[in-house]
Amino acid sequence: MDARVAEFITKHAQNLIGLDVALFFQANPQTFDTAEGLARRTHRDVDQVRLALERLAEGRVLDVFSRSEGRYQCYALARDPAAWDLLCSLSEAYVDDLDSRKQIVRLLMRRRREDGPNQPVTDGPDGSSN
Amino acid sequence: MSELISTGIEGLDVLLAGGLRPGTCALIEGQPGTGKTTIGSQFVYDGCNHAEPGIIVTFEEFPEQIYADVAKFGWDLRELEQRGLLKVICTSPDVFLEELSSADGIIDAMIREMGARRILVDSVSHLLQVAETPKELRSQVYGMFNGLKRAGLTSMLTKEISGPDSVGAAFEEYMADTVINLVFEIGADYYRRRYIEVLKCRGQNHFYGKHTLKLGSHGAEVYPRRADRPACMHQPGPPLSTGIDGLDDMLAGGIKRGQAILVAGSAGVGKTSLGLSFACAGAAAGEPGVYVSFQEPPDALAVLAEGFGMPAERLQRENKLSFMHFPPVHLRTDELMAQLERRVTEIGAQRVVIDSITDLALAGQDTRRLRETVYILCSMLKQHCVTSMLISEVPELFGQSYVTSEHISIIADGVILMKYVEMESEIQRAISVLKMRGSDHDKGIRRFTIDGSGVHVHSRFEGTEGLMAGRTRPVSITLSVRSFTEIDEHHNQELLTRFAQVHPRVAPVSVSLPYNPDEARTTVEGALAAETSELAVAPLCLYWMPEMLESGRLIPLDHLLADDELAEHIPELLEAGRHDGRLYAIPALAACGVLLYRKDLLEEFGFDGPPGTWDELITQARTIVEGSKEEELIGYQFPAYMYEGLTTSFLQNLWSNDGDIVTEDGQLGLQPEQTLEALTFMRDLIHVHGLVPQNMVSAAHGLEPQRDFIEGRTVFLTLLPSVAQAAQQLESPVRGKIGITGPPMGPHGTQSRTFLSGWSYGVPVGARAPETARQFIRFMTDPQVQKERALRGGPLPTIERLYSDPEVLAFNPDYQHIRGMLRTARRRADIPSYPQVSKLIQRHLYSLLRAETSPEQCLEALRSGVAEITGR
Repeated sequence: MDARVAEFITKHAQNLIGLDVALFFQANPQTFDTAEGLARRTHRDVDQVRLALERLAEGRVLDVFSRSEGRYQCYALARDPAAWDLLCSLSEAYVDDLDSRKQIVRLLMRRRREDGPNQPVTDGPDGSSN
Repeated sequence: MSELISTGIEGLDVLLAGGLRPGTCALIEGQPGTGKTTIGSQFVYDGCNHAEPGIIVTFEEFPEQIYADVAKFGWDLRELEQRGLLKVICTSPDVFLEELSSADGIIDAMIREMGARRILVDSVSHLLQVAETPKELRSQVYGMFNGLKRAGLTSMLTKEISGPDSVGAAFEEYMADTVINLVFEIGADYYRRRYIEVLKCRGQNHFYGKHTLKLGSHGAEVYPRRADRPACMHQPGPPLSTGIDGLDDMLAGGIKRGQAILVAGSAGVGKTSLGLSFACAGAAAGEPGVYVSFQEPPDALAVLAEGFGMPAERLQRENKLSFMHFPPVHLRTDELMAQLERRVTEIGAQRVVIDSITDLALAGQDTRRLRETVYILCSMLKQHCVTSMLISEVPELFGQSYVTSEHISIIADGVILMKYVEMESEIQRAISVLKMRGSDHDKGIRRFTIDGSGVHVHSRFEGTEGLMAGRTRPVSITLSVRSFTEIDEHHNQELLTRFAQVHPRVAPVSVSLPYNPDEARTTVEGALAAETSELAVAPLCLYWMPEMLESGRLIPLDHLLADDELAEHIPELLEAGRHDGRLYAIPALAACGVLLYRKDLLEEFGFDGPPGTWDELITQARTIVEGSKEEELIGYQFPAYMYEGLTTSFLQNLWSNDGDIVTEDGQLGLQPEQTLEALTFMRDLIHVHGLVPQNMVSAAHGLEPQRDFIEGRTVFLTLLPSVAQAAQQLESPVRGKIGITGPPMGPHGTQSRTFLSGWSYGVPVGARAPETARQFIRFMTDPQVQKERALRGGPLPTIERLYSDPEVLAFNPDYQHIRGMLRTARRRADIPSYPQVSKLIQRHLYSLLRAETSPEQCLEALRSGVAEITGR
């Protein structure tokens, strides 16, 4: 697995929701939506989605737009080509390569254990569970 | 129109009369699965391919799903995104509205940045999420419409509706410039079909009504339901052959160009074979054709055609013949018509066969819609100058009430009916032409067969009625014969009976024509003019035959006799039956004017032979009458009352005095000296010499001179040779005492000249039993029958060799002499405007013979009259 991808998983995605949101932007690169809208699309808890979006914005994968005098934020794929390349590598590793996919899931599980038992238990995208 | 923007769907552009106006909003509403997103995506995709970048905004469906969905149409949206021509934006309704309206809106910026011209918003139904009240919703939607317009976008907005009842009520429809409704209806065949309808198109004309929508392999396809358009009904050129000679005959040459013909018939009777023949015959003659089938696949049709010897495979390879197959179950008639029109244009088709419209009915159409479909189909084909054949199946095997249960026959220009009929415990096939606009078609019912070489149409079913109703019964056929004498009449009756014995369906009814040929002509003219003639055989007298032939009311008889059989007839008589290169009459009996005389009386009074001149005739007649013991003996008789016989009497005298009506170089004849001598001779026979009784000019029906002669009361008679034959009967006192010679000559005469006469048989166009008539003509003109008649004292045969037949000569040695006269006899029809000239002669000769005018006055009247009639 690409080291950049591994670093992205541990530093910015951090959990399955972060991974899902990142993959969503890779599959739908012209998305421009709020945390609520993306929570509906991914069928995830809106607060967790918002946390994931903020982490991805911090990682310069997404751009964040403040709207209506700060009443809400919208997120879009960062215009930096490096961000797009990173998401494409992530998608390639996760969608097309089963071994890489297992590694990604293990990385996320490991990180969850390190963060403590308070983190929610969620089914993985491949159906695996903790 | 050039300002309009194509939707990317050809048929939808047609419905919109060209496309959408730039900068307008079109609402595409419909139930789930009707194709809203596909139509909208196609609109944007088409723009990308025409330098008009576009945006797809999706509130619900994921862009990745849209990419995948349209990939099956061959559209690569990701590639268009990479080229900067497209953006598929995934967002929420409230975000979209905010971004469209705010000063730093990213969507507004995106539109400007990429130069977008088209947009799909999928769907406006989600705007409900951002409005708490209807008023707020309306405000939001109104704002969005204006925002899109402000951005210069031509937009399509999809909207979900729950069902047809939802149509026409929502405020979006009032706001949108164009409203397009999509439905997914279940038909009578329980098959669901998509339809599209333009409900509104502000500022534009558009096509009303529901039209077929199909999601095909290249996206949405719309097949506009064609409107009635005027078609060119009259197309020049000869009729089109059906490839079946007998049927072409029935159709007076074939099917008129541009007509739509309905071919109705029972199952398996041969409709498809007929249709294939029509299509293949045209293709082989350089007129490409399309055969539309709903049952038989193209391969099977090609095999069937090849089986009949039609080169269907080759014609297909040469692009002259095209088979189109539409399974009837999931048929969309609008799509059929569009595809058929395309094929017709591609190969330049001039003929189309639809096999069958019965299958069209299976496409879930009600009767009214089917009739409309067929009408529009015919109109479309006529617009392309295509001649079409519409095949229809009738449910009954025998007998029927309707050609089609849908009353399609009203639409068709012609109707051909094919039926099974039961005849003498056998199933036979019958074909008839019920209707053919602008054509004098055969009204008969003909038998047809199908064998290894295709469909063959034969002669009519004759001597039966009720075929099409399935209740056949025999009927009599009226045959007419021409009898000159009583013996002849008996013999003709016998011949009729014999004919009926070998034609069991014929119960012949004989009609004897009047002796006077002018009266006979009236009877025949009536038969020829009749739409349906009771008279199956028309006897035609040589001198008025040309007018009958010109009337076009006789059936050609070209192939009735073989060439060698025709060659047996006297050429002048045979040729008289031809017109415009075709044969319409077969000679049945010959005749010519002769002088009949009493051999016994001439011998008794010491004359060596019959008179050769007028003077000799007068001398011999006077001598015999004055010296005879018979007080009532008449010296001489000739046809003298006002009928054709009077003209022929005059012509014989004129010609035998070297005179003429019209000279050989076309100038007016009636040379004064020769004509005056002939007129004086005829007048003096009655009024000076007293040899001809005065009452002869007022004879009742022309048979009196003949009867007087046969009964031995006359010395000389100018008439036909048949009188001599009649005098051969046992009870005649002059049996064996009759001599025949040519007309005596006048003072200027160098050669005895007589007129050629005879009767031929033809078949009226309207004859109920033309085939029986043809067979009867063949029978009556047969050399053996003619010989029989000659041996029984009948009229002269038309077969040349019979004049030297030993048996005939043994019965009547005069035949050899008569043949010589026939060879030099002149045809009256060679005289210009003969019928009028003859009437003129009769009128003035009648006055002369009644001593009402002088020969000089008569001459003057004849010369001026003939000059006027003939233009000389």
